[in-house]
Amino acid sequence: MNSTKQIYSWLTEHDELTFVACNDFTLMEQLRSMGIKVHCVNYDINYKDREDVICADAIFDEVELKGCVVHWNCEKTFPIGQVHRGEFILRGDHKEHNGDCNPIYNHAQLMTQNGLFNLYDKYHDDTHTYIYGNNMDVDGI
Amino acid sequence: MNVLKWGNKYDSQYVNRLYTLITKNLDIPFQLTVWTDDTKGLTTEIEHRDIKELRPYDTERMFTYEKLMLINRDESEVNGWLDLDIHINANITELITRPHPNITFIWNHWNDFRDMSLRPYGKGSSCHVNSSFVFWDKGKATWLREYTEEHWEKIAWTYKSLDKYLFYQHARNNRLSFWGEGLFSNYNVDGLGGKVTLFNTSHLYNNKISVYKKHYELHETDLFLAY
Repeated sequence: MNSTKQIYSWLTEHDELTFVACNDFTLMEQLRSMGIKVHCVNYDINYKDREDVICADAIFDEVELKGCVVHWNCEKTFPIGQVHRGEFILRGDHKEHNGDCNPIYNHAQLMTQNGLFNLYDKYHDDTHTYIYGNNMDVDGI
Repeated sequence: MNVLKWGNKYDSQYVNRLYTLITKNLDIPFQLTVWTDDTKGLTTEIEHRDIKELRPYDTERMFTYEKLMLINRDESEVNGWLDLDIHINANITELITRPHPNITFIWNHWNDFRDMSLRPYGKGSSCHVNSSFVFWDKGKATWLREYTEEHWEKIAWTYKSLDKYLFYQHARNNRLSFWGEGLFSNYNVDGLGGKVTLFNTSHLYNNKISVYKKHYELHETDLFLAY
């Protein structure tokens, strides 16, 4: 894990994380080795036999999202903040691959789509846009 | 049974020829309704209705979602829709008269599932369901209409085409039924075969897929006049 990346400091602030649409199993295992409880929800049926994956669609299926929700590919789904309330780390790109329904261009887009107006932090790197915050009411935390 | 025709991709000859083909290959009485924005040139045997009746949503995001709006609309004992760009090669009576305890779609047997759909599944670019020839018995597709209406905002946001929605949300959860293997062919992949041959070119344009080989439209082949 490249710990100099800002997102990794966000991730390690939590005791429990649920990754959505992420196939970086090395990262998730490294976080587990640090004592963090990590769940992985992925609709990709290639992972249906993996014990460390809940093979489900976090947007359409009934699935519990525990702890801070880390959506690794926001460009591929409906905004998760519209189906779940809580803390989020959101990552998306605008490469517009076939199958991307929601190219992510900037922080404001991710914030607005997901109702993430209690923002803790944000940044860009060469390929992705990242935000960290929650979509709970001011007095709902 | 129903067909949809809008815009200028297909003209009335597509509808009329399909009607004639059904007449020749179906041994029971049937009513064909075309849902369209242009009735010019249609033969009088074909009922026509305004396609706007199938467009409760103001969207262009999910191609051919209108098909699902046929469900629960003045249903007969057996109901179905067909795409216009198909050729009927053999008698289809058994397909129509067999029980359809669930809405029944085409599985793309002409493509290798592992290479074409399983491997890239996570990218969201796969699709192995085809909705060119679909039938259901009265009331047996209600669940699909209801699910679609309940989840419409998410569906329209996520999927460019009806077939992709069906593949990712319903085939994934084993909710759909499929015709058997060998009943349908894709002219542009495996040529003529089975009872019905599809041309299946719309997704190439909708997904901006560049193709290395020529993909034929039905009217570019001799089959167009073979009815």
